[in-house]
Amino acid sequence: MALLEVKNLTVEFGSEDKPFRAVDNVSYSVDRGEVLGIVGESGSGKSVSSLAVMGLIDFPGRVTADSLTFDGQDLLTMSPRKRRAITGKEIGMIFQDPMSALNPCFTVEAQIMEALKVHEGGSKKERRERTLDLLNQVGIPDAKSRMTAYPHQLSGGMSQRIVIAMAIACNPRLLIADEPTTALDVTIQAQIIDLLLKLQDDSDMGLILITHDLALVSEAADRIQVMYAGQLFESGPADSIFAAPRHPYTQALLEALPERSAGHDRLRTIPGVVPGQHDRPVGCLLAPRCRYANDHCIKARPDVSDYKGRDVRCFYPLDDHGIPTGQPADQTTGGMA
Amino acid sequence: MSFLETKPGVPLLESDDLVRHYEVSRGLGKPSAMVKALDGVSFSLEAKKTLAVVGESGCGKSTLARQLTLIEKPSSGALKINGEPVGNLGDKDAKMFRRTVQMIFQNPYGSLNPRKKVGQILGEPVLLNMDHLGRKAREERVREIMAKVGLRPEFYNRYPHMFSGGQRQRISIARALILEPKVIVADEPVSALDVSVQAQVLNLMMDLQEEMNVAYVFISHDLSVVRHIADDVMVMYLGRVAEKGPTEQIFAKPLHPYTRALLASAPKIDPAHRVKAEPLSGELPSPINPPSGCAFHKRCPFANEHCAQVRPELRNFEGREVACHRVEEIA
Repeated sequence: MALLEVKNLTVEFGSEDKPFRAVDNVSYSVDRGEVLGIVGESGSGKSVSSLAVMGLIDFPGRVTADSLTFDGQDLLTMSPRKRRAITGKEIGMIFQDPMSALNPCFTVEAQIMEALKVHEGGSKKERRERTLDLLNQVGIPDAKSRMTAYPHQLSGGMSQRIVIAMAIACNPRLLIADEPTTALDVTIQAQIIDLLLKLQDDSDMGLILITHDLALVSEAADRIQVMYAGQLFESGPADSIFAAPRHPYTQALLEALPERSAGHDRLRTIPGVVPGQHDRPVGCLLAPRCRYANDHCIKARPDVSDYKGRDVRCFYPLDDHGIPTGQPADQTTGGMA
Repeated sequence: MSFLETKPGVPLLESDDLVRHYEVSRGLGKPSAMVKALDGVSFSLEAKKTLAVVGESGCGKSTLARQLTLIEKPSSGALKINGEPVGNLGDKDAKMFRRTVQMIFQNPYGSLNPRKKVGQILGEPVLLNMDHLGRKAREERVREIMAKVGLRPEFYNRYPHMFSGGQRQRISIARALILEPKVIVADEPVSALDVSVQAQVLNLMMDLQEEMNVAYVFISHDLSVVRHIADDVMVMYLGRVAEKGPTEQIFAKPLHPYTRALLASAPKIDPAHRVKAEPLSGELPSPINPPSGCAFHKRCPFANEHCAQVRPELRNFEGREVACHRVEEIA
């Protein structure tokens, strides 16, 4: 049984009759000891789906799912009290901006000890010792003197280490990291990712790594899913998904990377932008931007289907040479700059 | 104003030992400290070329941008355009200088006035700097530049909040270009954008460079972007230049240990490009109290006694400039 199992998760905002679907029927699962990478551009629903798992979507947002289970327990039907005992203890979360994730009014020690107090209890002395252990575990030099530091006295990298220490304080079995390194420099990013992967490996945690950085996720994750405008577009093993993309969007994203166009004068671009609340297309959400789109794509919305061991949401998944399969000839209407 | 004329054999923009120190108070009764944000940076930039400035936050990239655009005056050192020093310009000349050096800011959400329409945002520099133009001519100029950066004519009367990040960055680019500058200082122009939009904006910047003959000082932390767009790269560490040279050489064979570490830390999508290296330990030291000798020695795997005591100066090595004592042994 998978540690976290999400089936057809949907998150809607706005009025009942004309809702905006930030997350649209997304399914995935994470096992113990596994790193799942979720990539997508802004507005793809990657953060909202993880907030929904944590139960952090407030009214008027609506979360529905066929099932949302953690270790066999249904998160949606359990009492709020029971759920709170799981989130924060069994499932930890790391947010994007470490500077704003920490409370500026309290010391590092106080903030980590609070998490321990709520979930683990124990005497103050024990909690303080555990906090010191945690700071050492996340590689904070001179941990003892940093215990009484306030967040403003710490650099971005240090703050993120504190946030990680807080997230792993109760030995969670699943850790959700939402853009954990976006606010950090590359050398610090490498340190933080190494730390996360080490912690994950040591305690056999499941890790969900949410990022917009394709290269980062390809190095760190075991499995990757690509999201676009709230939908899952493609998912598969990390080593093959970027080597042979099956979805035109994955392919186009990769081609837009400067790393992939070495020696070319100009980058290949995806025309247009991610559709927002008011301009969602009727058919495939990518159709207006897809270079292979035809009339069928513009009118009908594809479902996720299995293609060569990959989940792909496309009528005409790409073959090994990056050419759409099963498409009638001379029907492409999309253009690519 | 002789700095407006191009002279053969003289670089367009030249910075000579540029220094900027800030005084910071350390609390009541304590003597104030000096932050050496920029500590002797020299480079030259030719017309139509792109110089990339890379480094971690706190290395002085943005301070450099503020000196180059005369937003602040350097503590010492000279800034020359077309061979003419611009350090002590009067107000009027400084205004002319600012017309030739324009800036694109990092965050397109913060750098556009939310109360002004696109037409006003783009028209304001023209109004202030080309006062001989009438209202009609001004509008024509704005519409012309909008077409150039790919903004549709009907956007003229829209407010910034109606645009996506990529479109806003196009507005910023248009605003920087409307006075036909010779140099554009772009401070992380694409780091706030998504991959697909980033590619559009980078292409636009490269097209405009060819069309309008501008030179870019491109400040970025994204090495793959830098590799794509820049002709030369300058790697900075704690206010000083660590390595400087042609882009392809630096990426093919980084010499300075810091450049190497930077390249190794950047994640790569193709397994073949990945460099397996220990991530750099530690963080950027405080510029208030920089380490003795080479500022990098505490994080450097090659550092020895000498590095801890003597500060390395930039010197030529294999067609590049490197500030490292042990570059011969490392290379």
